[in-house]
Amino acid sequence: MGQPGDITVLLEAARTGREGALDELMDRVYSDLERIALKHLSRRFGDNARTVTLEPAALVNESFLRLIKQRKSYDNRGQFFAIATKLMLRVLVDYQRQQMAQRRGGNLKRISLYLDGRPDPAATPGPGDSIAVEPLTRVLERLEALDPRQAEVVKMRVVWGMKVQEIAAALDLSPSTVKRDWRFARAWIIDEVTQVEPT
Amino acid sequence: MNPERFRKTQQLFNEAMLRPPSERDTFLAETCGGDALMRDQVTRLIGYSREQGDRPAMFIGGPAPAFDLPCTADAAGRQRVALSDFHGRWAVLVFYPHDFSLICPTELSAMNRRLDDFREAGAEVLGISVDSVESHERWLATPRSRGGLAGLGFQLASDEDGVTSRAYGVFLEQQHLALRGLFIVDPNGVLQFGSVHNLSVGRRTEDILRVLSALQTGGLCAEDWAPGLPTVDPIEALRSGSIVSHYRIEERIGTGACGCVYRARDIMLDRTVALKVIKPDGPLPPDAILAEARAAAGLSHNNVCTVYAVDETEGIPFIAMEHIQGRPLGDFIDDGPLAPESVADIGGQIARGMGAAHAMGVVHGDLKPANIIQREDGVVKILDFGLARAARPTADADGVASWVSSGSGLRGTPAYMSPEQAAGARASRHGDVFSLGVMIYEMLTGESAFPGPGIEEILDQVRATEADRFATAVPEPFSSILAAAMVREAGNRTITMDEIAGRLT
Repeated sequence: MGQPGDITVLLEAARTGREGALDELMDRVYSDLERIALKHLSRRFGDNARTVTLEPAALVNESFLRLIKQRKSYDNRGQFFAIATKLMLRVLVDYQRQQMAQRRGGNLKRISLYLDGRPDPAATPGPGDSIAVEPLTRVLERLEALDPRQAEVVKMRVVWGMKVQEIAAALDLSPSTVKRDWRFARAWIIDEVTQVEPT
Repeated sequence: MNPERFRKTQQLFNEAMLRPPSERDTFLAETCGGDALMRDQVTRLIGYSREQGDRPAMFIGGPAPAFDLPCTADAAGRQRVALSDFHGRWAVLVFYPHDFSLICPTELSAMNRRLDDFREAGAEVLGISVDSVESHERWLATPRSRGGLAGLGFQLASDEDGVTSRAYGVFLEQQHLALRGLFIVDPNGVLQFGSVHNLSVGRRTEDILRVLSALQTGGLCAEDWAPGLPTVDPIEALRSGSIVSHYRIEERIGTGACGCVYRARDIMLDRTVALKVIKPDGPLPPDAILAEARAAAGLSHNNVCTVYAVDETEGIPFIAMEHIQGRPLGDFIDDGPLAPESVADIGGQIARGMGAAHAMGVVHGDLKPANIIQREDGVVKILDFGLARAARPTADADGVASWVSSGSGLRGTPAYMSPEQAAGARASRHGDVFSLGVMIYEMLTGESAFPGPGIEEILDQVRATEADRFATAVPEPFSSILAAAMVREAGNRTITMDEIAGRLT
């Protein structure tokens, strides 16, 4: 992962409207995320995994996560957050496609993200423990059009594993509002995936 | 979907989630009106919602999750099946992963062979999987020899989106199929049994029929219970060391027609109690006995045995009460006449205890020497409030006779009954006064007031009683008490327990 400092500089540049700064920022974040994700994915799941479920937040380092979580202090419009989220999902989808395209040993069929964090291994697997990355990206787009705030909550929760308190602080909402939003959005995306996008 | 509809969906979802699960269906039916799509979606969304600390939506003893699914045609050609269709019958819901698989046909065929047994037990079987109705139909059209189910006598429902399987907690999200879940729903729609096998182990029809029959007995069924065998008699099952609720049984200290009394240890409060365990098939309905005991539980008086708790949650109805060690009054009477001072003391204590009960509106209804115990320190305690009242409202003279004659060892209860009770009337304060009069007479004389010999004769003697005969046989102050307490007509028996207590001190 590159120095968050570099990213902050690029962010500031993008904010003040320097031409090309946003593209540069995206390139920079993407390549960082990709490098990290590839390393972790192959190390953690090897070549034999058919489906993997992960917490993307576990792929990036602490200082990057801090940037994501405390975005309010430097990124009023949530630009960096939006970019980083989009890129993280793209890295994962690209990785999955690339694995499937391999001639040999391409066993990986699906990368999924936990919806509520890693479930208790002793608990019965239940509906909506996890969601595959590809449908998630599409469902998120639809949710964004219907209710941008709930889409934000889902991204923070699912992609970055943020806790209710952290989300509430980042979005200036009460924790109970976040909880209510999440309860509904979570059910809604499971329903979308089941009803609209049966895999 | 447009943002407005999205918001409406969210609003209904949130409002439904605020309501208890059992009321959500009704709420959605009312608020969604004719918008079935909206109602279905919100129902699904609720199904996906598992809040931490939430009890699963489905549990034994609660309402079974409702469903309304397309299915293979029944005899009448109907192609939908809903949980409500089974109302009034037992439903056996058989979730299975897939048509045309290896184990499913063996399970369903075996259940089909015993279908008559299910139906004889008032139960209907329904198979449920994620396959389409068309797939079910192809399967039903395939001969047994080729892994098909031709000739299946019950319906197969199609839960293609897994909503019902999910509601029953048997849906495998990733594989999009149901585990081998088996659920038995009683005629009131209450889930009474559930088991879930993994995909590789088939269910045994014999076991399902056993559970169904066991549930239908309404009794306690041990591990080795089989259809036709008796259920566990809690009285038989309880022995030293058994735990009932938070009481550990120590020793049986009494046996009666309605149940047994045990000395037991209250594990939580660490004290000794008397536990009266009510026989489920005794002469009096356990519910009635417990209801009376609850009424008496409010009584707190030194001369009244305190009721601590009334419980039946584990299928064993019992009353936990003060454990009293002492000698029943019957033993004193059997030993011959008591000294007048002792009679005044014991009679006075009974009258004070009863006075307190009457002041609270609690009637005993079965005052008799067996229900009076004197502790070593001389304190007299009255036991078993309300037992007789539980019997009396429904019992005619014959009922009373059969209750008494069923081996209760009650030392001839009719012999302490008031004339109006002997004629079938309800227990009352006046009846209790009469019974105390009889006991005072017997303590003083050592003789039975109504010697019988048979129950019929005793009842005749009680109904024909003359107060004077008893009053003239005993000294004062007892004579005037009996003259008033043993009057035949309840309406003329005006002396109260408090007055008797006053005259005896």
